Amino acid sequence: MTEAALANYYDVLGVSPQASLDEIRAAYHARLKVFAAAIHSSDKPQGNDLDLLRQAFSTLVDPQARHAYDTTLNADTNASQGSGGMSPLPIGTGNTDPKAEEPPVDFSRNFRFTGDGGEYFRIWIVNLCLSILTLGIYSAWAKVRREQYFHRNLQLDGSGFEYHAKPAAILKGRVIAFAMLGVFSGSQHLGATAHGAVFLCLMLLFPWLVVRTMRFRALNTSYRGLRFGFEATYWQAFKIFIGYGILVTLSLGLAFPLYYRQMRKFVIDHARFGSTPFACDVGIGLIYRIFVLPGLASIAMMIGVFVLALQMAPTKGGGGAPLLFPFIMLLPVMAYLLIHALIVVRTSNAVWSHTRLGAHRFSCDLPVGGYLGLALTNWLGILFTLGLFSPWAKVRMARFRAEHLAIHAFGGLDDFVAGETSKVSAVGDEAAEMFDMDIAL
Amino acid sequence: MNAVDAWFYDGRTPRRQAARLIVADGEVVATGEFGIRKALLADLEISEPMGGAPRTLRFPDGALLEVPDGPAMADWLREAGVADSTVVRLQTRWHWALGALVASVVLIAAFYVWGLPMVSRVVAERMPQSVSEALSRQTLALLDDRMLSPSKLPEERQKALAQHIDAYLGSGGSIPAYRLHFRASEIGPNAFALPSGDVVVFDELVKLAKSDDEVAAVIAHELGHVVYRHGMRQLIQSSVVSFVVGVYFGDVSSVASGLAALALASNYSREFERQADDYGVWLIRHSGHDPEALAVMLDRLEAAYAKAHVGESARSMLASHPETAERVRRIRESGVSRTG
Repeated sequence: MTEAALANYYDVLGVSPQASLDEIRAAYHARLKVFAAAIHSSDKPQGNDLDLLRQAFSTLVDPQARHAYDTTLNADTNASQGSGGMSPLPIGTGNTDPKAEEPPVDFSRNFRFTGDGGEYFRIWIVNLCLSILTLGIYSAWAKVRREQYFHRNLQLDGSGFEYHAKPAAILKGRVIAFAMLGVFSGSQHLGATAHGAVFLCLMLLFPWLVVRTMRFRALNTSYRGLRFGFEATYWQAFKIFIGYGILVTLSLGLAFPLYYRQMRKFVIDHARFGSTPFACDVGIGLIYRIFVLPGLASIAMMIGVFVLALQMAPTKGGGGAPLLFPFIMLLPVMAYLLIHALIVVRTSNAVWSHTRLGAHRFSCDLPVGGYLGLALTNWLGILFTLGLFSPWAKVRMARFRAEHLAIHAFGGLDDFVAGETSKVSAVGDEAAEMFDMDIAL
Repeated sequence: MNAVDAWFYDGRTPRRQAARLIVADGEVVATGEFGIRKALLADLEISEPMGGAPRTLRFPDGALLEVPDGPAMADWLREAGVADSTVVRLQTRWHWALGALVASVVLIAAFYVWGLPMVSRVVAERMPQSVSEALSRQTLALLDDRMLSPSKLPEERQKALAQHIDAYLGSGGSIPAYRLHFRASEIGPNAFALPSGDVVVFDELVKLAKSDDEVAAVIAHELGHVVYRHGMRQLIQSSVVSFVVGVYFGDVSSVASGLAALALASNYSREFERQADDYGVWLIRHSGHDPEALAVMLDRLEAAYAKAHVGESARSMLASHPETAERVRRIRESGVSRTG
């Protein structure tokens, strides 16, 4: 009965079992067009119909996979002595068409970032000045411009990404977020119970904010005219951020890598491009291995600094060595940068390299040394220029990260269709930023 | 009219199709294998120029035109009568950018020196009494819980001292409303004022004074903080400074932002201390006494502080109390100039 359950890939594509690669590709693109047109009609095709189509294509376009599939199909046909004029001849091996020996279609592209530090500085400083002049109101327009700069200069296969949020929505979101911050700070002065109550409310609000942030960002980002999306319920977010968060506290931090992996997976699994979902299958063991060494090193360093600080501290009997103190404080900063770089690089590489979009895969190969050098020079540059270097720093980091990210697609980047789109306000996004809850990919 | 090459995306799939764009009578016409798409120039969302990024024209239904050739697009738009916005033009020239930099620095400096102090003064004056009462109550309760213990001075001593201070400072008839509290603390000799008019004085300070008049002199300084609402103003000003510095430096280093905020807020404190000194001197003199008592107490407090913190630098940049010697000198000089 497996034959009935297993859809026939040739039928899905509408080609004969002897079809050439070109015919298969052409049939696939034709089917996609039909699909895209159908999206806007009353009988909407199912999402898994598209997955099936894609699966059919990726199997049949790879000669080895196709051969294996044909074998299965032939076995089923022989077993059930079914109808249909399918030839038991294995396709591909006897085929003298040279095109059949081609390696499977693989479309690998690195991302690029075409921004320039000086150019972004000019945008940044003019917008900063206008924001100051308008007592902060223009900052919503400044933010839109900043996001557009970093979206549109991130290019894949010659096209940039787009950012669609409107300044008015951002401004409204900021006002509400500011009010929330005011209530939270103000409650501090009204007593421990009031403050505690407000804190508890905010904690319960947090999963809702996360989902709205992700949704706002996703729906307002597009590539080649197709928007991204994000769908998750409050409880799904609650389980991750509150549930696993409490677990981290109870386990004194030992469960943090688990929480981190669940969080990254949550964000990716619920995101989609058009109607196609992303998926992340990074292993928990891999994440734990990334965190173990830096975690131990951090603890060792904290103990070391504590001991050193005790020895250095001036006592009543006689002073310590106050001149050495700044250098002692610099050591943990350097160590922190190194540990931070290690974690960021390894987790980015691991998570991205285990992320899929439909049948396509991503890969990320950030080098630790390169990242560390970049982060250090950025940090020093910003400190010594009192912040004026930050536009260059941001551009440098964006370029570095983009260059080391790539997508590996079967048959190009065309096999997506638009998903459901709807409006969402900016409250979540702005509130999250105000409370510094940036959960970026 | 020049045509420009573009890529067309129908908004339903990311499939790329070649297109050519022309403008005719305010209408953009895009032709390609998809057929012909038209839209009024005014209905299209045209992206701002941003260096190497392709420029886009977006149809109301979500379809997209992408033009990789920036300069060709700029020419095409100019011919079509579409001008860059003012802000975009400001962003393209380095001299405007540098001008914006100078303007930003000047504005921020002006805000820090004049703007914020003025706003905080106005807000502090309009703050309802109930809020400052609640705030002060909370602060005192917190301090009592953590750092302060009940005074070891006998009840009658406290009452007598309070009455003496009232008489000493009130004889001119302009003493503000206040409540005196006595506490003991390991911090050492000190006194502070809360926004509600509650003034707290430590046993150690009373011990340090050689006469009740000297205690009264310190109280006069503290009353300056009450009258000018320094507590509330410092709270507002340091909060705003922390917030702004945090936003600016936040991504980079919380240590830097913390230090910067502290240094900037301390500057405000120094100004307030000076103002409280001036008020104390005035109140004492107005009640017919010699402000030398305040100068003497300041010297003694500084000596006691230095003795307790041997090895630390006396010239601390972060100290909110301006050089005590400087303050003492100012107090004594004010005496000289007035009795001339």
